[in-house]
Amino acid sequence: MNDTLPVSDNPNGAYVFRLYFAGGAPNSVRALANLYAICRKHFPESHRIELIDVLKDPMRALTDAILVTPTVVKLSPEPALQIIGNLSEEEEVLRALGLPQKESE
Amino acid sequence: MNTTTRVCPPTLTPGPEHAATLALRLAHAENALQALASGQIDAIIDLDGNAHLLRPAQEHLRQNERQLQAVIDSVPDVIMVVNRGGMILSQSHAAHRALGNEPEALRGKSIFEHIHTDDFATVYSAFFNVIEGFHETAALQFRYRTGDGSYRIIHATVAKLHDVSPANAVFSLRPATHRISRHAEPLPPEPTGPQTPLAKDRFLAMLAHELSTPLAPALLGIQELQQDARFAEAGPVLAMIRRNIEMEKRLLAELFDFTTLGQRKVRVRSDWIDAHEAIRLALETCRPEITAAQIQVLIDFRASDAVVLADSVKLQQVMWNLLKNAAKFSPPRSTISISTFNDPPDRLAIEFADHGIGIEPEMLPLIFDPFQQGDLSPHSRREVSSGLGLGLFIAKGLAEAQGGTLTALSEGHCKGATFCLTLPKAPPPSPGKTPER
Repeated sequence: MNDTLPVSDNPNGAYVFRLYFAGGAPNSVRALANLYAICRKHFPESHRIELIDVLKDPMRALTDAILVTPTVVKLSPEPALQIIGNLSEEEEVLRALGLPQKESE
Repeated sequence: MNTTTRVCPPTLTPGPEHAATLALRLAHAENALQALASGQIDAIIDLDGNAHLLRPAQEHLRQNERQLQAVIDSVPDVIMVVNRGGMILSQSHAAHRALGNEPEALRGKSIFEHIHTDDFATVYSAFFNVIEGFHETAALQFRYRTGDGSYRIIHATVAKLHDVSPANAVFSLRPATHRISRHAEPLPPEPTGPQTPLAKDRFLAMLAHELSTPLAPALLGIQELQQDARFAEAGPVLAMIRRNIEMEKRLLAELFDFTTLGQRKVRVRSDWIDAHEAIRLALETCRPEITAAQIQVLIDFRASDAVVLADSVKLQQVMWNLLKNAAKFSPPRSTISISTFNDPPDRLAIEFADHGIGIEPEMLPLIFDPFQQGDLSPHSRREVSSGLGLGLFIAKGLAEAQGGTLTALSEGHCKGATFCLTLPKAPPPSPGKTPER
């Protein structure tokens, strides 16, 4: 089942992510929680997270050339990129996203 | 820093730059392998489009499932998951405990097989509305056939299962005996010292109310069966069931009135009522009892002004009680006289005089006390002779709540009894102001 988390409708400059996950498996749950936390912290007003459960829709993962879960794809803004893993290392994720790495608040 | 988060360029579709695509795929694979090695991967998608859960993820999900099942099984309610067609997919352990159904006897069967045919339409309609998404949840009450073939009244809720399987629904069943109150009312306060009688009364009132609630649909069901030609042979049995349900209702109504009177919580409306009309109405209601006892009613309406300030429903209740009592304790073919007069002028007095078994002088001061039972007439029928002995207590309480009085006179055993009900007359309309009725 595909789903979308609560998000801003602002398409311009919005961060759009797509998370490929495997049901309630631990790394998948952690990846979603981490991604959601990062979005709320860094772009609370302008993000959207699409969810693809590969246990329900594995063909979608194959079509999108996804090999493993959890995998998150940043669709917008350009350039698109893919991050594999549970996103527990926030600094790494922020660096990948080209965002300034904030120290703890 | 030993990081497992891998970053790589976006996915490319095969095209002229085939080598670049292959390189990208390779990079993805390499990143995936490293993430795999560090235990951050749950599932792998193969080239046929199948997702394979890795063992740790499988074990984690199994453990979650076991934990969830343990939680579900420890709930006293029976939890059942059913599909769109009503087929039971799974059920909690309580099914055996509470309903006597073996799990294997349920799984794969339709939940509707266990629901009484009379309740099927209601339950199915609620289920349909939920499964089709018209309602979020539905609360139900129905008769459920248990493992031993008997029926139990079940309070249930049905809700659509979200996220997991949109086409499934979950039933939560609770046998009625496990729960008395269907409302989320706060419990009465703990009985302490002088509040104890009040707490007891509140509990009794609530109990009486709750116990009588299921009787209404039962009574309706019996009435329908009585009208159904297919059950003509069961007529006497159905009549007996109906009589007993009606008696149960009456007893519970008495108990409820008794407890609310005890709490002084009777609410009365003050309407201008023509008492003569009210007496005719009460006679009509009590006609079955009066006719059955072959009693003749003599009416003598002497009051020139019979408009009183009273509560129409409560007044009927008082009159029914007096009339039914008179019929119950009178010999066949005797008479009951009902007379009215304005004495004193600001009140209306209504006398109900019978020629029945009368009241012993020593009993006279006690007859309005609760739980007092008069001697039973040998002529009285069994089904009307039972009761809690609260009728006169309630009648007096209701009369007084309306600003009236209720007194009794009797010259002794077998000399009949006269009950006198007085009510305040409606004030004369003030000049320039027209009463509404």
